[in-house]
Amino acid sequence: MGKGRTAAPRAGRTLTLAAVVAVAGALVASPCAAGAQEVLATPEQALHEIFPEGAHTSREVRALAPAVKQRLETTLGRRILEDSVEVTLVHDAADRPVGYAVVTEEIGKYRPITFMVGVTPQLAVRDVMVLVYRESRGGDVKRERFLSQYRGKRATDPIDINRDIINISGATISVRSLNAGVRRVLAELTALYGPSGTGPTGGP
Amino acid sequence: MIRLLARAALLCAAATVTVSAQQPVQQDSLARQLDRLQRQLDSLRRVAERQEARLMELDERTAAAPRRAAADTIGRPRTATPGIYGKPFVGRFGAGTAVGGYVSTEFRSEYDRELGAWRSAFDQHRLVPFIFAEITDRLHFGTEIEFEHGTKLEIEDGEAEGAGEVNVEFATLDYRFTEALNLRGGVILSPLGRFNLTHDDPINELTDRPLVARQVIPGTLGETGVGFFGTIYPSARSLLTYEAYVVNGFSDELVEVEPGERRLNVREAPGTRGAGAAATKNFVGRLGFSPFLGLEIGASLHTGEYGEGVEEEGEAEEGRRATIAALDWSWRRGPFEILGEAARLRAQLPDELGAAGVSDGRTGYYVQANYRFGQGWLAPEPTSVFTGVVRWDEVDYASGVTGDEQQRLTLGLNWRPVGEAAIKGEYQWNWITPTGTTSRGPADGRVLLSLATYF
Repeated sequence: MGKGRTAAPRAGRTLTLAAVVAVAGALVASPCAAGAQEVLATPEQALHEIFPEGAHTSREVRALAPAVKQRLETTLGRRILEDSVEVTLVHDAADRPVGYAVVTEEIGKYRPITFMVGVTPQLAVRDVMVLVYRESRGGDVKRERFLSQYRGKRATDPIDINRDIINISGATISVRSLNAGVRRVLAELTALYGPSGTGPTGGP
Repeated sequence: MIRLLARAALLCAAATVTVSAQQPVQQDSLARQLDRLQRQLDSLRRVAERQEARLMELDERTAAAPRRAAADTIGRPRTATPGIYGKPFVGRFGAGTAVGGYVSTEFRSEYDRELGAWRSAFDQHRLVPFIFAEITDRLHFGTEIEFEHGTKLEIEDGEAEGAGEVNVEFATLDYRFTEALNLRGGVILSPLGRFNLTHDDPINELTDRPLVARQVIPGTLGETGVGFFGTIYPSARSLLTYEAYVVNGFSDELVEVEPGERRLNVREAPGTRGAGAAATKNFVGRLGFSPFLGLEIGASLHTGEYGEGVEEEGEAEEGRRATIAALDWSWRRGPFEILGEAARLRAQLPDELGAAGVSDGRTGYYVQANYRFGQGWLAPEPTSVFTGVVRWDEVDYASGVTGDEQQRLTLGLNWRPVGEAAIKGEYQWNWITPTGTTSRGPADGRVLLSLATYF
């Protein structure tokens, strides 16, 4: 600023800057909440959320026969690493089946995302809940806003970005991972409990 | 793993010490033994740390490599706030630094009505490396440096000669307090309209940017300043994003108008990045609301006085406020997407310019519809997709002045082998209304072909 010049009065600007500094100062002093691994729900909590009418559950581990596994891999266009699926069978108070639940994991951009897929006896998605999210970014996929898109999806649906799933900016890889996981669980449950499956061992 | 090794080594050490204590061992011998064990323990710890780091690195590579190929950037509804956080990165260095970028090459062919001939050229339009560093979980740095038109510059005697442009589009340091409150400072990608925030060539379906995003909002607009941004979830389904910054205001070049010219010089208006001695301070901010995934509406504002913000002694102070207000919207369902933006500039002019009939503003808008189809028609089957695009642009370059308007209709078709890359083709029909008239006439048409990809 040269000699003979004066700064024009800028009360509003000064106030704005003061507010910015004050808020920043206050926040620096405030406790922070962040962390790479976020545990959002336990499997029990998720079961209660997805199947509020569920009164009791039982678990069974169903093996994927090599032929079934091969067929699923062809359908899904990817490898299936597990040889069996642990399924939670949910019943209401009158012992009527209300659905199946599978806790599974898919790798996000760098780390696994743990989530539960709840499926109706008619083999449509009842709801999906993320149990543990470990990525530092892309966490919008853990919210109902995104996850509600899976409701009603069946193994025959594309479950894909640009088709029936709306993507989230900055979380594309996480979205693809969840899509792949939901598709896989639906395919496995349909193979195990669908018309061509062997049916539950006392389940829905 | 480190803990296990440490425990094992300590147990060994303790056992050794116990056994040794039963024998008549010299104190210095015991000390030497402990010292040796401690060194072994430290050495094992270092080995374990190296192994763990290596495993993490391999883990990340394994996880990232195949999925990156399938990542679909364009599938995003492009919520505008994330900026650098929405970009794909391929290379990671060390614990928290990632490098990526995008490149676009174009072929333009234009029918020149005056010459009565087509003229064309290839243009290596943009090469934009970006760097992102996660200094801590909360402290992040991001930058994007743009080289335009195959920049070739030579510096001789302090003067740059050549062609092209080098520009730091943004360089920001972010500190995350909570998801709802993040501090940001540096050269900020101004949240003025949606397009300015999502302007990367590979993410956009057409080669040319909307007229309003260049001629009313002087995009790509990056300004130096400080402020806050964040995301709030008012309900389970809705989302509110905000960005609010204080930045250096527009420069006096906004009103440096050639004699006879009626338009404001908005493309040269962005203020100093820091080289200037003084600048006014402007507010720039955007509020985005998404009631549910797939629909987003945004309102943004850039307002304040322009110029250096100092007055000569004795000089009468006059109002020199300039304001750009913008509205943007996007809606998406399945393969359909509709998006657009409208903006309006108004500036208080020096009396002599007002008397000379210079316009005090500009307005414009665009509306665009995208339809994605043919998923998997061409390899790679899981990710390739075609997009049909139609866009209507309209700009009034000099509000309040008769004429000086432009309309543009663009039809485009592009193919994406993966979300991060696009091969685009489009045709533009242009119409202009010359200054002083009300009759609209056809202007030069254009064919554009381009390749754009993140890397």
